[in-house]
Amino acid sequence: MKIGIPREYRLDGMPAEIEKLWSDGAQWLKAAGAELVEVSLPHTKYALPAYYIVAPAEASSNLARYDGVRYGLRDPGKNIIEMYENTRADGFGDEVRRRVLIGTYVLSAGYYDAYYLRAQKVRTLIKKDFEDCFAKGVNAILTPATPSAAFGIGEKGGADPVEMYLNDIFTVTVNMAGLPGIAVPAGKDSQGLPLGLQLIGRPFDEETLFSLGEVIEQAAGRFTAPKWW
Amino acid sequence: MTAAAAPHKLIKSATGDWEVVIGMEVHAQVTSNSKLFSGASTAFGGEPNSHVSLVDAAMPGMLPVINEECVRQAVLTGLGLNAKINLRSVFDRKNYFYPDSPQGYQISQYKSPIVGEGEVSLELDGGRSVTIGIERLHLEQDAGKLLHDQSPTMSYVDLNRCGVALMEIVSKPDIRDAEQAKAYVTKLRSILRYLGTCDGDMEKGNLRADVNVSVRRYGETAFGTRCEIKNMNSVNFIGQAIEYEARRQIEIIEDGGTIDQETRLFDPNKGETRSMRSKEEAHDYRYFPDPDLLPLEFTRSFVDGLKAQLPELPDQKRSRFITGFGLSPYDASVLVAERESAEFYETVLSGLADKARDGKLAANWVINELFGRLNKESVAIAASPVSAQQLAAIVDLIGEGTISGKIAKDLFEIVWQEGGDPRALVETRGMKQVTDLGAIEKVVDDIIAANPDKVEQAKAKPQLVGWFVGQVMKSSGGKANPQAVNDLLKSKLGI
Repeated sequence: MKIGIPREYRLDGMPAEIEKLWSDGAQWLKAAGAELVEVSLPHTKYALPAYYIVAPAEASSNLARYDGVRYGLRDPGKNIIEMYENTRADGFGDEVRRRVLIGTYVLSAGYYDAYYLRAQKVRTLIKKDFEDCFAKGVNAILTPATPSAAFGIGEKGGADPVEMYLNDIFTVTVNMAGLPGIAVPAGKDSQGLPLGLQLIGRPFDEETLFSLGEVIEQAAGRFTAPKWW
Repeated sequence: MTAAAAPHKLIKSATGDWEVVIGMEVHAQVTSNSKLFSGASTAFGGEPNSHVSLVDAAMPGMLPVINEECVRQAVLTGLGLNAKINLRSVFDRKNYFYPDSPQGYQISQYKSPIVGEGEVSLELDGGRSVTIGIERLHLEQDAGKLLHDQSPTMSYVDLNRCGVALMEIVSKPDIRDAEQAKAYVTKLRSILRYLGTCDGDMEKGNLRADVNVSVRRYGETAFGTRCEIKNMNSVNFIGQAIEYEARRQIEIIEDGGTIDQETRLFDPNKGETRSMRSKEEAHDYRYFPDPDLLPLEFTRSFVDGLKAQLPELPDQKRSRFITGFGLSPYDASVLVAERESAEFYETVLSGLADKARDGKLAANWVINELFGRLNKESVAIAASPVSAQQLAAIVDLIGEGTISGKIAKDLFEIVWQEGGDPRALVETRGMKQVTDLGAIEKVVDDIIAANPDKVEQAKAKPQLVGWFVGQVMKSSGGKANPQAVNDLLKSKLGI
């Protein structure tokens, strides 16, 4: 079994403990009989910006149903438009409202081609990166699940939400490419917070991901969260 | 160029002749048992919100699944419009907020419709015909219905219609006057009904049209600014709205003004159109491909299979009636306009002893006697007291010379009122035409003997033979063969 290690996922300034987790994971798989190969996914750097156009676009439309008419919260107004405005302003949190606004913007007349359509084209290129990789005989790709451990509520993104979005950098590529992915617990950071490794597989080949995931799980051992409540 | 040379109606005004340019978007409800993306029933008239699935109500997490029957109906319709069928099409979301749309968007087709360019040909008065181009046909979801009369302070929503499949059929701007516009909708409706893809019931709103109207001076080639008249559900209203709207626009331009592109509504009570929203107030629908649905793809052989099932359409039926039975183009058009009329006539034809001989006579009887009577008494053809088989028997009796056309009208009346087998009625009520020359001769001799003065007059004025024919017919109860009577009288009177 060939496991790809993508060059582009080695980020500048990535914590050493994440680097170590990743190479531990690779060694566990190698010890179980896998062959490690370095692979290239050149369009990785575009994945996050493209994702934050496509996902909010879909979200803005998906969330349109929460308008106070059919179910859920309804904040009355003196007419239907005001009722919509009150309900949606009240019922959605900051991050949801931000995404609804971004999504509405990128789908608007005059911006669709520059944002949404372009992001969809980037998506095709990202998908092609993976296809090229799999065509060379790679069965699955191993990456860290996140570039850092979980951060506290309100700790990041207060001034710039992109700081928060950057935490998704390794996982959004899978959604953009439409591939199966699995994240498995693989270790802890210096503060004792859990860290994960991600395996990305060929289309419809979840079975390989489950068996590789089991190798990591067995090697890494079990994690029990400290009782904090 | 003079107005007389125009193939369509122009509007005359003090400053010259104006031409109207019309394009239409017709929304036709697809005939199917269940909705476009859910298994809920499409039945009309159910208790409010009794035909609503979780998908139709847009419950979170519900996913649409395309109804193959609706796809089949759309392709059949495309074939009936001689249109290009696209083997790959895409469903998009049209985003807007309105309480009759629980999803907050309508699933429709925008850039890649299921059906592309086609055409519809229209027969107009005076034997003229014109071809109207079809731009596209796409599938989309219908919305629910708002009920404003249930409460003094609230509006209620009925989602029974929500998610029912519609075909939006978009014409090219090829229509040039109100008559053509009316003929276009009528013809489109007729084709849909022949195909069985839409019941065409405009009163129920199952067929409705948005009409785009602009005007230009006759001879100009550039289009004027258009106004869209929304949601018309009557052919006559479409005609009235176009006439009004064209004159309104001409008046504005002649007064030195310009037309604002806008959406308007027709008020049938006042016979006028009113502004609904301007271009600036137009929605930005933020169309994008529906991420819940894959592109719709099917094979050429799927299309070919449907092509093989296409019924005979009005144009083909019309030319078969003309060439096969010698019907006038007008009569043929009358018969094929409604599927039920054409089917009735076809049933009469199949009941005839000699179709080639009496096909045209049968058409006259169906159109003049039967339709005339049905119209007069406001009876639908399906409820006609005279069946196609009975009418065929009456036509047979005329065609073979057993009864005259005049007696046939009496017979028709009896069958209409009392029913029964026409051939048996002719026997039992002694309505047979007398062709026995001996019997007719006796009557003729009696009349001549009784009227010596008229005989003298007739010798000088041969057209008086008509009086004698009348007397003979009267005395025979209308049953004497008129031709035989005429011939006999002429020889006996020596004229």
